[in-house]
This record gives sequence, structure tokens and C-alpha cells, in this order.
Amino acid sequence: MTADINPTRYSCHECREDAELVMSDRATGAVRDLYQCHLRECRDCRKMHRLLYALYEGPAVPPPPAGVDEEREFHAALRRLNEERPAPWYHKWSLRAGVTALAGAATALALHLVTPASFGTVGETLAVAEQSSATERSATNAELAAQGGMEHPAQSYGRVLGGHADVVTGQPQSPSNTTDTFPVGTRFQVDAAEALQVGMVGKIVANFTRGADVEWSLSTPSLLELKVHRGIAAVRYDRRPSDPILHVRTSDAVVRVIGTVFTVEVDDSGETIVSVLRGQVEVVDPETMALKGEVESGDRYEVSPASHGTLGRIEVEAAMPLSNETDGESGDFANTMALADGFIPSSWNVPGLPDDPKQRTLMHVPAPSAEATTFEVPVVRRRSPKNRGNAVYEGDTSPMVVDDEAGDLIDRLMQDVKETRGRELQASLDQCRTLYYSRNRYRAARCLSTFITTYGDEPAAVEGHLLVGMLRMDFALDYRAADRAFEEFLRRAPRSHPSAELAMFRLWLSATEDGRITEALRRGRRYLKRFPNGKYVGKLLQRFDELKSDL
Amino acid sequence: MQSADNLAIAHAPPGSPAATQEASTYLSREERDLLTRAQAGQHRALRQFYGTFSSQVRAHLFRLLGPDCEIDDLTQIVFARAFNALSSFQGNSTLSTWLYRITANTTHNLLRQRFRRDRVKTALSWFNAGRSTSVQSSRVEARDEAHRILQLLRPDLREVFILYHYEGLTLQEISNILGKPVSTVGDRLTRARKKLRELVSAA
Repeated sequence: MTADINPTRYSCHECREDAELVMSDRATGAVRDLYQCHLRECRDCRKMHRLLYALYEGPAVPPPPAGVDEEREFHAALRRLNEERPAPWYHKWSLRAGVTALAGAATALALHLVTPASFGTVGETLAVAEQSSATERSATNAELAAQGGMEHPAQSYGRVLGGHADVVTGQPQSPSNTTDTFPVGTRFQVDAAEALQVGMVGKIVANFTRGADVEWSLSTPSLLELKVHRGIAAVRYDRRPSDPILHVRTSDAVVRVIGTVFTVEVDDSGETIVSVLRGQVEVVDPETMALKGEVESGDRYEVSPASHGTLGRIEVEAAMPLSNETDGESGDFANTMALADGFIPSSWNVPGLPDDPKQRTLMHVPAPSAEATTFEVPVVRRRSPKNRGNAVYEGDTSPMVVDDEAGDLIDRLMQDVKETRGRELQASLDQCRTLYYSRNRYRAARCLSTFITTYGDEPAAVEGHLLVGMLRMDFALDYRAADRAFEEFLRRAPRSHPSAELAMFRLWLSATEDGRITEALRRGRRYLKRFPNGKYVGKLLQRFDELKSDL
Repeated sequence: MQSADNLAIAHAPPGSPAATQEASTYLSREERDLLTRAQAGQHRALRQFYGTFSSQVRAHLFRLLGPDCEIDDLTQIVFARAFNALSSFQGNSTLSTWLYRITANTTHNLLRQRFRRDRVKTALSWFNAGRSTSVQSSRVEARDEAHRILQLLRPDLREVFILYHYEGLTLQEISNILGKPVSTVGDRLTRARKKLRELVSAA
């Protein structure tokens, strides 16, 4: 057709034949002229051209979801992982195999009934079957836990990790050994001089700054809720698929979180300010739940005037105790604790902060004003051995006192090192000890990791494993690494070691907070068997009623 | 085609993907790194993988199905299948081609079901249009009309047309995605164009 360029013979038929060539820019100039000329005269061909052009151009694709919607879709895809997992090849045989096995078992049972001497073997077979089914159940639970979620009420507790606060409300608890564990409904009024760090449901680490008034108001498998009445609450929530959504509620806003590091501040005039360091949050109206705004990392959003700005030193300072972010599932202490060294994690978006890792410190964060700011992060754990054993929920207002087990440990470790080893080991540990008792307690994790990497094989340093495990569990929520550290301690320490009880308790707590309920029950039973009158029995029974029968 | 390929993606023995990725010329160093971390199940790597390819998958689904409430669902399914099959990815194609393949397998049956259903609908609507005097085609935007015409193409022809003209893939790449010989793909493309010309002329 392209060779035929006689204008008089260029009809609709030729035009339609050439349409694709013209649109894909493959037609010669002459053909293109004829084509255009024909279009001007023929209405039908113009319509055809328009349609064909639209066809080759393709539909206008709407923009993909962004921000929280994108996050939501990603998590939905993760939730579908199990549904979309192809059935193993043996599944189609499982019914037949099951029927065959049942028939076989029935035959075997009949044969054994005929020969009474072999009853013992049948019993053993049944026991093995029960054991294997328990193993399967355990595997399923582990799989569920890996997907997140809160499958057992034992997970619906929080723990004080450091600092000091008054407990204003809360359900009275009878056991006297529950001083650092609190249930939903607890309201903290933090001292004007100190901050408070808490872990909740094994998934959230929060830092309530000086003078803050924060309440943990709701905990369900699909929703957790904090109420900030006053002050700053910095929260880190690395949500796994099927973990609950977190709401942080103030008088004029609800901050909806899927997984991020952020702060919510209610200032003296009752205004809410939301700042995000990593990820993104939605701010919705508390009454209508209508979207008020989306806050992305690096942003500071004032709810009442609906104004966006950049976050500053105050917010970063409040969130610094949450900087123990783990990266991956590395078992190497030094690597995974590398972020707990006073540097701001690279995943946090802090405007104006240099990219150079060495300069990512609080000092380099631009201050919002000329006001003097203290660079120290007030995260200390009050040690009050005298008050140990006092009930927390005694009345309407009572002090929250935390057992400083890690503090005791580090003292004992220091003593051991002093007695058995030279100055080098002692100096190294002393540095960690100083950090631990400073206001930058969370930074001790890094120091202790280095200590363990260097001196971990020394018998005198054995408690260091336990200490690192505890810090790792509390500040990084890295339960698997903590498990390895506790097991390492139990393997190395003599059975009568004074800290063995603490290690076994922490092993149980790690499995509980990580949602490995079957494992937690097994570890709880092991603890109760070995320490039936142990100091942590109350804490075990508080979370697991089913363990009472084991006493 | 689709069932066999589906199985190939989902059930291929893990083997040594890392080694094959090293040798793969299809993946950049960043992609290899991302893949290794995603295969280890690292959440952040999966998130990054999703962020990199979600717009591609979503746009392709939109072009295949048009504005549809199931696109969200299908995007999630495609990624869930991709995450499940990451361990068996051998590095024999680019990640984007591999995802097109999963998308094609995921939508294969749906496209055919809809085509059969819509054929009956179209026949009915033409019957009704013949009886009615007011045909409102003049109001319809060219783009919507184009989309409607595209949906009239048989799914196998439509798939090839979209991958070639909208996604800009070569015949060889489409052949890899659909698991068909290049000659078949070329033939389908020609038939798709011819059919579209006919449909446009008749519109």
C-alpha cells in the first residue's frame, strides 16, 4: 500500500491499512501526507484514527497508592503469604496416608490386644504420636508467631525498662513481685526530673519524657492505644504482619501507626504536635476518624493549625533511647548492636543532619530555637533494693519502682573481674559500667557487646552474656539474639550460679513477649520445676494461669 | 501453559539461587543484593522489592483489566506469590520480567473467565442497542472506547498486545514471560493488530 501514492486512489481502505504505520512513525513522508489529507476529508476515518491512536497510546494509569495506603497494601500482601503458599506435594497424599495409617494402627492394636505382653510398646507408640503432634503444634505456633499478632493474653502486658514514674491508675495486682510489669489501663505520670522507658506487648518501645502523662488505654489483637495527656511520648513500633495497629490518642487527634518511629507531644496549651523520624503516620480526627493529615519522616505536624514543619532536636532527643534498631537477624552482637552507640540511625530522616555516619549525633541536629537544650538523654533505671517486693498498685497513686536486675549483674560482674582478672579486663568493664549508670544507659549495650566479643571466653565474663541478652531484649526487642545470649550464659555458668534463676526467667519472658506461647509454657514449666519458690514465680503466674497447676 | 509455568515458579527446587544470581547477567549488583536479602526473608528487603515493582505490577494489571475493584487484590496476590517464590528465582531473567510472568499466570484464568462472560454481555448489549434508537457512543471518550475495544480482544492476543505496545517488551521477552515460542508471540501480535483494526473500523 505504501508504494501506491496516487491521491485519487487513496481511499478509506488504504487509510486504514496505513494507520498503524503512521502512528508508529514508520510511514514515508508521502504516505503520511496522503493519510493526513484523507483524514481531513473523511469523518469515519478521523474517528477510526482517534480510536486507534487511543488504543496504541494505552490507558492513562492511575497513580499507585502512596504513603500509608502503600504500606497497608504491602502488609496485606505479607498477610497473604501463607494463603498463596503452594500446597506441599505430600498434601494430596495425606488423606490416603492418614487412612492407611489409621488402618495400620487399628490392625496393630488388634494384634497387640491378642498378645498382652506388648502393651508397653503400644503405649510408647501413642506417646511418640502425641509427642510428634505436639511438635507439629509447636511448629505451627512458631510459624504464627513469625507472622506477628497477639495470640495469647500473656502478651498483653508492658514492662518498665528504665526511669521513674508515678502510676496513677491501674488494676490492683496481688503478687508482690510484679513491680516492673503493668497491665493495660496503667497511667504514668513521669517525674519532672526523669524520663521513663517502657516496652509494651513485646513489640513497642516507648520513651516518655520528663513530665509526661501517658496512659495505656487499650490492647486488643487488632488495636493498641496510648493516650498522651501531656508531654512527649516517643514510640518505636516495628510492626510485623498481623500485629495490631497502634493509635496514639490526644484530646484533638488520633495518630494512626502502621510501623514507624515517631513522637507525639501535647504541649502546655494542650496542642498536639506529631513528628516522624522513620516511616509515616496518619493523623485523624478523634471523633469522626476523618483524615486530618499524613506526616512523613522528617516532618513535624502541628494538629490545630494543621501546619507542617521540620522536626528538630527536641524530638530526636526524645527518640534517642529507641535507636537500638536491629538490622536483620544477625547473631553477631557487635553488628546488631552497632546502632546503640549514641549515633542517629541512618533509617531516621532528620532534616539538616549530615549523611556522614560519624556526624549523625544529636549535637549536629539543628536546634529549632536558641533555647538551651541538654544533650543528655534521661534514661536511667532507679535502683531501690529496699523497695524490692513492694506492691506497685497499692492505691490511687503509688510510685513505680523497678528492680534493677541488670544493675545488680553489672556490679557482680565487676566484682568477679576484679577478683580474678587483671586491670585490662577491669578497665574495659568499668567503662561499660560508667555508661550503664549514666543518663545514656541504652548506650551500655554497645559497650557490653564489645566487651563480650573481646572477653566472652573468660570465665569471669560469663554474666556479660546475660547482661547483653537483657539489654538486647529490652531495648532492641531482638528476642532471638537474647535467647542465644541467655542460653550461652546457662551453658557456661555453673548450675548453682546465683544468676541462673534470672537467666531462666528471662528465657521465659523472651518467648512470652515474642509470642512463642508453646515455648513460653515449656520454659515456664522448666523454671517452676527448678525454682518452685523462686522470686519470679508471681510474674509467671500473672501471665499464665495454666502454670498454676504445675506448682 | 499457565498451570505448568505456575508450578515451575512456585515449586522449583531452591538449588543454589545465590550461585546462579552471581552468574546472572540479567541482574544488576543492587538487584542481586536486594534479592539475596529478600530471599533471606528480611522485612526491609521485601518492602524495598515491593516499593520498586509495585507500580509496574499495578499498571500492568490496570492495562489488562481496566478500572477494576479487583486490582488491589490481584496486586497483593502477585506479590504474595512472588515473595513465596523468591527462593526459587534462578536469575534467568530480569526481576521485572519474572514479575510479569507471575502476573500473567495470576491473571490468566481470570482474563479468560471474564472474556467468556463479557462476550455474552456484549452480544446482549448489541441486541438491545439494535432495538434502541439512542446510541450514546458520541459521548464516550475515545480512551474509554479504546479500552472497551481492547477488552473485546481475545485474552491471549490482548496480553501480547499490551506487553509489546504498552510495556515496551521485546518479542523474546514476551516469549519468556508467556512460555511460548517467539514465532507464536509474533503471530499473536499480528493477529491482535488486525483484529483491533477490524474492531475499530466497525466501531
